[in-house]
Amino acid sequence: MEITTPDGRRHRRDVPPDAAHLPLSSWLERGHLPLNTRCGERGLCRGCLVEADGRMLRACQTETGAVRTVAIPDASFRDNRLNGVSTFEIGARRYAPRPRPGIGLALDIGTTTVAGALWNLADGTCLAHTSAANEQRRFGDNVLSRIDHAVGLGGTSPALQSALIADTLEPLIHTLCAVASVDPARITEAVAAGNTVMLHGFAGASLQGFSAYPFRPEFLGPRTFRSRELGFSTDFPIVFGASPGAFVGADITLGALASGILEEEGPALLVDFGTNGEILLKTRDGFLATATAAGPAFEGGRLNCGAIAGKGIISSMALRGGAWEVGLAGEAGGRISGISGAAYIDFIAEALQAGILNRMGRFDTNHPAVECAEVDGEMQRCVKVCGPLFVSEADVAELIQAKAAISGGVMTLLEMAQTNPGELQTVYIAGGFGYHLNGAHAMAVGMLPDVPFERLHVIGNASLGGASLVLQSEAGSAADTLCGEVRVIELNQVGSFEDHFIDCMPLDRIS
Amino acid sequence: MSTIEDLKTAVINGRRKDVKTLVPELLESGIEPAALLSQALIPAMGVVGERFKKNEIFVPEMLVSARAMKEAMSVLEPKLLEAGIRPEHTALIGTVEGDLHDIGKNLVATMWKGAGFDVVDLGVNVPAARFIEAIEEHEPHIVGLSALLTTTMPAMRDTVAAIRDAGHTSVKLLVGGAPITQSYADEIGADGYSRDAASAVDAAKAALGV
Repeated sequence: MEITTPDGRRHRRDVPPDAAHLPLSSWLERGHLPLNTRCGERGLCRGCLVEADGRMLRACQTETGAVRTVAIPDASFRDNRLNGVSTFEIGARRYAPRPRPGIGLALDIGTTTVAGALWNLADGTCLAHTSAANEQRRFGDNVLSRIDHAVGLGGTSPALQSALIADTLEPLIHTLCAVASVDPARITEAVAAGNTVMLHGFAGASLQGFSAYPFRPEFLGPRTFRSRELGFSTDFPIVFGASPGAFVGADITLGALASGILEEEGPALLVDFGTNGEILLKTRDGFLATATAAGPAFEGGRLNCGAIAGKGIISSMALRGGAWEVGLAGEAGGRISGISGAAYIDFIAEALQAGILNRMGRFDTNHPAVECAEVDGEMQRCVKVCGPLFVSEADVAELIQAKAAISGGVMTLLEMAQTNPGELQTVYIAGGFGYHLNGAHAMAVGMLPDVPFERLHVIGNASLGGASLVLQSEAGSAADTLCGEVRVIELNQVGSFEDHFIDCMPLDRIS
Repeated sequence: MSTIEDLKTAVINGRRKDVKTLVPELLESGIEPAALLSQALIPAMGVVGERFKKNEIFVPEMLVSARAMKEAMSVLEPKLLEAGIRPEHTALIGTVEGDLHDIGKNLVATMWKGAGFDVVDLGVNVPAARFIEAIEEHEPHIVGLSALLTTTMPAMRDTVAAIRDAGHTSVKLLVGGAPITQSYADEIGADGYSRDAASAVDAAKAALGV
């Protein structure tokens, strides 16, 4: 087979007989040319689109043996240069430090990216912190596709566990230790946060209990493992943080710990914008938490030019004198190849303000910036942003549904707690997508309730911050206590959620 | 004075509050409930479905219109019942066991009502036995099954099989939901499939041969 890569180079590879029946995407993966198989090779997305013998085809639905020449567009490569977020702010003050000799490792296992921080436990200094793409992405870009993959194998997938441990965390630890000039064998203990599904995959536990309602996870409480038993090359104990529910995980409990929300009177809100959006509301009466599946839209899953923030990806946008000014994630230079979720929110807020877009997400066809173009064989109204990148009305509709899922979820919790949005004293924004999000724009499009700007706090990777806090103090027991106090809400079971969701569709401020 | 046309426009534009005042006002002026249904609501949802299919509107606007339609129906349905008016076709709808998603299913239910069907909504997490019980009670012409998760697709397959095994071979079974495809519908022996709520009306009509 003749393979052309985006740099224009041609590679000749022989297809062995045993590979002829494999999907083209799986065979290319074997040959170290991994494609963006974000739907888990199910033919549901266009991530792995390649030109095969002159036709644009989904590589996951194409048999290797049937193809003679293939050209891989840049956008179809799996992006291994994701900019995860490993910085965080610890707002908590009440936990006394617990200095002791040793090197501690804090981990946040996200669906899309993982992050780690290495600590000198004797003096509480951070020796290194970094993030990397979660290599489990080849089994799909969201938790459901991972669950589906594992359930197909009877519930447990050794491949899923080794993609996380051998292919993701071992290299992450190697990088952290290299930066800190520490031998990995010197790590004395670790604390891991993450959503409940990720922690199950990490432990090699069955994902069967997540497949259908009623959900029955194998464990929710804190657990301790030996790293070597899980498949690491070095040996140290790993404590998993406690999760309140199947889809509200240790990432939100440890994130809450780090944010400082436990120490304020409230009402206060913590929104962790990751692939799974999790929401925690603190009121005078206690805690309510829920999860929304809004993430994949913000990570570009179904958007024409959508991408996760990384090199060459637009991470912010502003309309200046009729032209779009763009900011890039990571270092400048090279080709601009996609738009991140945060930049899409900038686009919507600015286009709304400029009258290009109305409150129902429709472009004004009389505006000079709006044009009709063919997208996927259908004519759509679009606005060009930069080079070949554009935003279509269908993209805006996807984003509106995603933002309404978040604000509809927030409004449902607020209603249950009989609290008005205006009463919120603090709104903490955590998570990778949240880190790049322009809070003023998020409020302008009705993605977050309208509060005075100074009440918004962007706190970065709060989950990693919480895991770090647990390593260094007695905070772990506070996280366990919190889990017992949180009332987990399944939004689909709350009658008024649909009403809130639809009320949040227009691009109006929420007050 | 308000007209039937005003109600139609209000539903198309999703103005729920206007609908809420217009329906009683029009009824009071002496217009028959059946006329409101056939001359305002059904044409309105027809327009919404067509616009959606032509990419003129998208899901957010369709949801808003459907909710305005629902508002009108909540007032109208008891009146229609009182007047002894029964739609020609009855449809059952529900989300399969293990799946709690209902927004898509509710949208299809509203579009079917908008096409003049009598719709019985069984809700979410509906076991096969409950579908069968309801088929026996309501004797529907069509049954809509929804699944939003790849992991609940097997429950859809099992439900289709259970309905057929219970001897209900003539009722038309239609399936839909994000992970469902035409080939999956064929594989599990469903009579019809629709990729979105707008085409669910066409799929139902095709299955009924009307």
